[in-house]
Order: sequence, then structure tokens, then C-alpha cells
Amino acid sequence: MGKPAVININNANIPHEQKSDDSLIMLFQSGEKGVFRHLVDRYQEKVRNLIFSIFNESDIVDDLAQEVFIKAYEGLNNFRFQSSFYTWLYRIAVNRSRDEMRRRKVRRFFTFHSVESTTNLKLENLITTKFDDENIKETIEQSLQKLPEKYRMPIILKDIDGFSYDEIAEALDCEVGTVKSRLSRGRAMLKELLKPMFAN
Amino acid sequence: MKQFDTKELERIISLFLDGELEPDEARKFEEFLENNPSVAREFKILNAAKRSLSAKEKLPANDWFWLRLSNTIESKESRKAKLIPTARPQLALTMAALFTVAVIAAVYFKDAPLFHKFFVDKKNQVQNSLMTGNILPLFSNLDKVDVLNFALFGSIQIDSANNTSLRVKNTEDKGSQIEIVRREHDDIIPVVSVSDFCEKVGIIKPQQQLTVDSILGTYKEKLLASVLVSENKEIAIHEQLVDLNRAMVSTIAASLEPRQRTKFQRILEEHQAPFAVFALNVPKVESQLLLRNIPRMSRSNKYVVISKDTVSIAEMKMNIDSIRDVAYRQRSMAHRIAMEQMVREISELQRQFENNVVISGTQSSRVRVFSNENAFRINLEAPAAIAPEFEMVEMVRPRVYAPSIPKRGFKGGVTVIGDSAFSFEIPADDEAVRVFKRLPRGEFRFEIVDSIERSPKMKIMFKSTPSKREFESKLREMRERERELIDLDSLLRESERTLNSEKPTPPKKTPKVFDL
Repeated sequence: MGKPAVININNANIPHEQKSDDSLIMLFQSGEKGVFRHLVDRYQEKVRNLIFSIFNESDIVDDLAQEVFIKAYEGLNNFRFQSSFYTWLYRIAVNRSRDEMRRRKVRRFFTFHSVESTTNLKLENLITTKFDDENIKETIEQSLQKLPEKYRMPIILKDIDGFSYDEIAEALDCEVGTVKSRLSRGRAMLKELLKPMFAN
Repeated sequence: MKQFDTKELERIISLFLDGELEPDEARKFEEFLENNPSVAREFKILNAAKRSLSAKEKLPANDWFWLRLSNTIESKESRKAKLIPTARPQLALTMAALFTVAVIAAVYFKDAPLFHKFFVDKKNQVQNSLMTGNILPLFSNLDKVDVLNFALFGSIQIDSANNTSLRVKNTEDKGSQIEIVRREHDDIIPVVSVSDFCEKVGIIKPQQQLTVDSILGTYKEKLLASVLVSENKEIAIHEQLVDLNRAMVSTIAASLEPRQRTKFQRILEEHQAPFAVFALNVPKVESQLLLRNIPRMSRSNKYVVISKDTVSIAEMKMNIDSIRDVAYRQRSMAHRIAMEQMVREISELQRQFENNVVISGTQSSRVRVFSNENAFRINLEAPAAIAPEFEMVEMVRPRVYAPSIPKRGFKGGVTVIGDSAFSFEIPADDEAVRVFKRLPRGEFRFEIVDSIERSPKMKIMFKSTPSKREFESKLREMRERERELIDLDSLLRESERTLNSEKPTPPKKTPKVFDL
């Protein structure tokens, strides 16, 4: 998982926008705090969308994303280059989201028969359309929200954010094997939730 | 392919879905799917769900994100910096003080509901406050051409596409107006560049060009601080805005030589600018004196705050320097477009209140909003409250358009207007202007007529006629003596005396011209 901290910082002529994350972090750690802005510019939308995917509520996205970046700013001096910056950032975002869930004391009880959708969608429609049907999308997203957090998070990172298993493991701070099993279990649950819609 | 138990099947489907199976395994699984339609169906559901999730719509970008974040970080950093040198005894003292305050508060608000209400009220007060969140100037990317054209025409474009503009009008009798107007297709917006302006006015000397440049730069800062946009989607327009272009024209006119000023007046006339320069012959004011006397900050804290559904007048203390600093850091086009978009949205919503009137403020300062599909206009119905604080050299008057000049029987003599008013015309030289400026307004008013001629005329109109005969005789007497300059001081003193001693003459029914 660890990555050698071999970083070329002899790139003074390259504008900050084009520098790698690691180079920017090195500069930050050497006291050039202003470069943090470039890291924020790079990842703010990703973090915001991750939080949006987790909660499916746009109202809290910016507040939480702000807190994530503040935590990142405060912890960046201790960043040891053992993982990539963005998985480290995602870990902060995931942990902060978990805190928020705990704070809200939301307990999501999972049941296979809890799909409320009355739409009698056909599987073929679902497969052949380009997902321009908002109802289908919404139903899938709602079903995802019904999954317990530990199964939902890997699916979000894999299917929405396109992370690899290794990256998910880093972001969730667990083993790759755990990621795989949670993904397969989560998907099985999701499939069961979606099944009643395709009865016909 | 071998049969799987449920758990193993779930695992393989998941890996296959992610393209993580070895090629050989993948091929075998594909065969398995072909032979097991029920599993294939389940796989299709998951595949569809995966595709749907990967195409999940992204949130719209938040252009305020970095600004808000950097402010929070800055304040955290400064708090940290303050805390670090704090010695422990001081910390203990602070804690003790806080504890004391808490005890006093607890005693004071011993009634718990009252205590709770106090904080709820405070919270509501804060929540309901105007202009919350980050505040930025709408016009942070202005250049001097924009400022010059705002000075000349009282209009400044809000959006880059030039579809919406902000206009100000200032009339002596009807108060001031701020309009956010959607541009008509056939609207021609004149643009005068600074170099064209200097060339037409005859500003050749570098020193004088520098003065004009400095005036525009100074007013650019004022303009920047006059229209602010907040994160909670409100626009605050400082009341000084309605007077800014008048003050700018006046200051530019004061910096010019009399000949240049006449040319300047010609440009204003050509472009039908809202103001006309009347003091054409007074000497120019030294640039240093002029620039030194432009107040940097406005004394007033009064803003017209426009939100999506309300318009109000509010007293707000803004830290303009800080706002300006932030503006210079946030000069990106993205920010500007985001703010333009916001203003457009708010103005669009305001326009929906057709013929709507919002009245706010007290008797001394009221604001009314009129809107239709193309514009919404804010009338500040308190001309006296809008003090021309920037105008230390009064050089201009609102331009009088031809249709508003009464034409009846006006041929150079004394003209009776309506039932009780009359007017006459004299050469508009500097002394005459000076004398009239010193007199109290109300009883009469004066206008420059044909001001771009070599010898401009001044038309003086009086509200009442009791001293008409006195005027006539006095004027006739002066004409007889062939005096070029009328001693208006003594003339008006006499008229006042007559007004106080005589009863008004009965009003005349038909206009009459007295030939002098």
C-alpha cells in the first residue's frame, strides 16, 4: 500500500496548477500554505459529490465538505505520502460522513421488502435505456440509500467514483478482501431491493 | 462450469461486474450465464444499477466554496495565533471570567424559559439578518472605460453578454431611481473610450491625462463598494450610487480648463447624457486639491437591499476594505459570471412582481419598487436624504431635455407661465450663475438654455408673480443703461421686499409676453 516518497520538487518553473498532488503537499509542508487552494480546486467537486452520494441531500454537502477540507488543512503537515492524497482525503470525508450519521442517530434497518416504488418497470427498459428516465435513476439511488452504511460506502466508491479495490480499502481503512465481500454482499442486497420492480 | 453456493455466486457476479475476474474465469462465467437465465437476469439488474450509478448527475459547482473555506481557515489560523502566546494564568483568568458571566447569566435568567427565549430570539435575529455569508462587490472587474461611461450615461452593464444593465437617475423633484433593466434589441449603448474622451475634450498634457485617470481610478473604487452581493443571494446598493455619476461628471468638469469644459459639455449633449455642465467659465480646480477632497469612505451606511422577494433600506456597517481585498483575490471570470447570474436571477424574480409596490423605511426615506417584464425600478423618494457628499465643486445640473422646456411665448422677454409663474432670460455668465446659486431654492429655478453656444443663456423661472412689475421696471431700467450684467442681487432683494409688503396680484388667464 505504501508508496515511496520520491518526489521531484525541482519543478519550480511549472505552474502550481500543473504540479502533482505530492509536490503541492511538499510545498505546503515547507510553509507555502497558499498551494492548498490548488488541492481544493482539484478535489472539491469530488468530495462534494461523494458526500452527496452518501446522504443524497444537497443541503448538508457544502458544510460537510468544508469541514473535510479544514481537517485536511490541519492534518496535511502530518501527511506521510503512504497513500495518495485523494484516498487520504476520501478517508477524511468518509469518516466525517460516518460521524454525521452517528450524530443524527439515523438507524437504517434493512429489509428486502421495503421498496416503496409502485412503478412496474420492465427490466428490458432498465437495461436498454440510456438512463434518461429519472424514475429509474431515482429508484436505484433510493434503493442504494436503504443499504446499511458499511455496504453502501464501497458501492458508492466503486460505482459512482470509479475507485479500484485498493483505493477503496485505503479510503475505508480496511482490507481489500473486506472490500470485495462487502461489495458482493451490498450488491446482492441491492439486487433484492430492485427485483420487485421487475416482476413482470 | 461448476455450480456455486449463493455466497460464492454473489462474489463472482460482483467481481465479473467490476471486470476483476481473470480472463479464463470470466469466459467460463459468461458460459455459465448463458446456461442459467435466472442468474443472467440478476446480473442484468446489477449491471443496469452499476451503469445508472456511474452516470449519476453531479452537483452544480459551488463558486463560493473556496472563498468560504479560506475565510474559515484564516479565522482559525488567526485564532490559533492569538491562543499560542496566551500564558496559562491568562487562560485561567479567561475561564474564570466566562464562568462568572455564566453564573450571572444563570441568575439573571433564572427563569429557564426566559433564558431559552433570549437565545432563541437572538438566534432568529441573526438568522433573519440581511446580507449573510460572504459579501463581494458585483463590479470587481471594472476598468476605467466602464467607470467613464457610467459617469457619462449613468448606466453600467451587469452581465458579460450585455443583456442587463444597472442605471441610475437623479432628479431634483422626484428623488432618485435605480433601475435594473433588460436591454431591448434596438437599444444602442454608447461607449466612449478614455482616449477618445481625452482627444475630444482636448486633454493633451500628460499631467492632465493623469488627473482624469486618477479621478476615474478613485471613483472606480467607490463604484466597486457601491453594489455588493452576498452569499445568501441578496444585492445591496449603497445610496451613494445614485449620486456617483453626477459627482464624477462634476469632478471631471472641475479639472478642465473652460475651453475643454465647453467641449466636454458638447460630448454630454451629443450623447444625451443625464447631466449638463453649467459653470463653463470658472477656472479649473487644481488636481491635487480636487483629488484630496474626494472622500474615500462614505459617511452613510444606508443600503437598498434587494432579495428575491423584498426590497428594503437598511443601515449596515460594511468593512469595505476587507470586501475589496477579498474581491481582488477573487477576480476570476467564474466568480464574476456566478455573481452576474445571481443578479440576473434576482432581477428576473423581482420583475415578476408586476406593478408591485414595496414601501419600506420611514417618512424621510422611502423606497418603492416598480416592476414590469423588462425592468424593475427602485425609487428612493427622499431626495434630501441623498446628500451629494462627493460633490465639492458643483458644476452640473440634471440635463433638461427639450420637450420639458415651456415654449409658450418665450422670446427673450419676461414670459408669464400659467397662472402665477413667469420667467425671463439673461446671459449665463459666471457671475449670474454664482448669484443664483447662493439664493434659496423653491421660489425660483433656473436652467441653462443652449449651453453649447458661445454665449449660453440662462432662463430664470419664478413661481409667483407679485413682484413682476418691479422686475419689469428694473430690467427695463437696466437695459436703458445698457448694462450687460444685471445686478441680480439687488434685483432679488427688491423682489423679496416687494413680496413681503405687497399682496399678490390676481392670476392671469392667458400667457402674455412683455417686450422689454
